[in-house]
Amino acid sequence: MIRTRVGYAGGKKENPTYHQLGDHTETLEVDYDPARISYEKLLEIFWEEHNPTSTSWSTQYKAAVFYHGDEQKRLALATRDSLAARLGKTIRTEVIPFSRFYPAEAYHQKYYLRGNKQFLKELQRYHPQDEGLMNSTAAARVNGYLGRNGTAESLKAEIDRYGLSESSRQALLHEAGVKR
Amino acid sequence: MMSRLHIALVAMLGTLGTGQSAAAPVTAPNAGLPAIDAAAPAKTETATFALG
Repeated sequence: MIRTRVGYAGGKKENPTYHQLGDHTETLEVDYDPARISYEKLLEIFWEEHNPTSTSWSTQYKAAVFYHGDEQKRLALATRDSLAARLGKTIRTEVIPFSRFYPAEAYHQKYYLRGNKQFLKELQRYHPQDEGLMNSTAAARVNGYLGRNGTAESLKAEIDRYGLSESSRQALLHEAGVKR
Repeated sequence: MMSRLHIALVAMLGTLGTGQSAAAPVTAPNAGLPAIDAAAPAKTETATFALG
């Protein structure tokens, strides 16, 4: 994964904010290298990580795939239909065309990283602007490992490339290692 | 506060695709960025989801 961000999409209101969301939906967006991970894999994770048969209570919290282009549309519909057949239930998650994504406010981005001042301060030295931090692969990685994702082995393979101090490297390795 | 589902999934997705070769450069070719940021591929695709 190259970049991750949370934000708002699907509505017509210009420049929505968390407190003035208008007709938008809370959304996450990722930039990925298709040579390393496929859209099919992302869809597989998406379908597993939410309940697609539940009815949305509001536009803010509805479930949806916002497809970018015909191939994503085809794959989203195919996996949705396959899941419906397997479950024998109606899938309520919408499959709709992407129009525009508005990043959420900075304090919503990289939640686990923002909860750890040591790592945040180190990465902000490279990315003093909020947009830079939001689009940083290193920040996405550290945020993920602080959230207790990934494996110690995968972290070890590339932690030298995150730009962290030795003490932060050791702290992150400890974080990844103690959970398994 | 954004939905907990989004916070959790964004964190999980952030670690996907890790484990790049140890032979990859450690220091950034242009000073001032972590190597992994400096080496981000120019060609990427975007996926957008809402989990409810």
